[in-house]
Amino acid sequence: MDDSETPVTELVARIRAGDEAAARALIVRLTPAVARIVRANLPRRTDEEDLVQTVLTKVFTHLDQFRGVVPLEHWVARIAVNTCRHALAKERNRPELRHADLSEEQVAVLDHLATESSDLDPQQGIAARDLTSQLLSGLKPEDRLVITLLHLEGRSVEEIRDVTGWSIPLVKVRAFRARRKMKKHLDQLLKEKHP
Amino acid sequence: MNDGNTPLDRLLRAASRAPREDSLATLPFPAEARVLAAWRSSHSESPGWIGLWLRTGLAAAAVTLALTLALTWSHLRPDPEEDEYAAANATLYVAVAP
Repeated sequence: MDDSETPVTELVARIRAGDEAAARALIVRLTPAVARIVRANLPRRTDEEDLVQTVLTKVFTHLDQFRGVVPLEHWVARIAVNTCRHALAKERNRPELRHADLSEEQVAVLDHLATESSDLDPQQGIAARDLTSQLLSGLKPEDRLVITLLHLEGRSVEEIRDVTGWSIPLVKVRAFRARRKMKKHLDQLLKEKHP
Repeated sequence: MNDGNTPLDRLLRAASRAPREDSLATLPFPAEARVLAAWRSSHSESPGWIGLWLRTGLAAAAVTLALTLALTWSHLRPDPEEDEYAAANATLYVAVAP
């Protein structure tokens, strides 16, 4: 039986009754969304597949606790975000980024940011993303998470509240503080290159 | 004031527009098997009537133990009045006291 069109609620009910085909179908359904969250919040030296597996294992072993108050996707996103947050928290060593660590493309991005007021060229997108990722790795897990969700994934404050469980004021305060720390690190890099 | 055009804003904007690397679309078979194994294991661990009976028995045993300890507490505590040396000392004190 093809379960690709089966509603999620029906799959959950069948899984609770012990239906393995439904469990497989739900894994297929959830994997891309979980992988996207994990990719965006992956700690260094952690395998993406391992973390996706950890998240899905938590989802399936706690499925009895899903009450259906929120859509399953939100519930799963929350588990994924919290799992990533805990994985990031274990990453104690957060080295400070130095100008000498940057690639040529990243240095070009910094040059553009320092000398031009226009947006970066689309070709510089990947270097900008890598530089952002390196700047993010110097932040605390919560700060990194809020910047990723708000600025890189374009989620609203309300969506972030739903997936993290933080209040809206807390999301805003964390975003403000995280941006301030990130700006400080970026300004240091810019000063190293353009004193 | 943040006008949305600081270097950080422009960097984050460019990073968010960058093409994303393909993330995992399907879980490889070994990982899927491990998830299913964990689910089966947790599913079969749901307590039936035996589990419920065992838990009730354990709770009853804990309550009995607590009650027994409470009732025998006075016997477990050393009572200074039953100290035979104290009685002897008192007798001697009375005998030699002026």
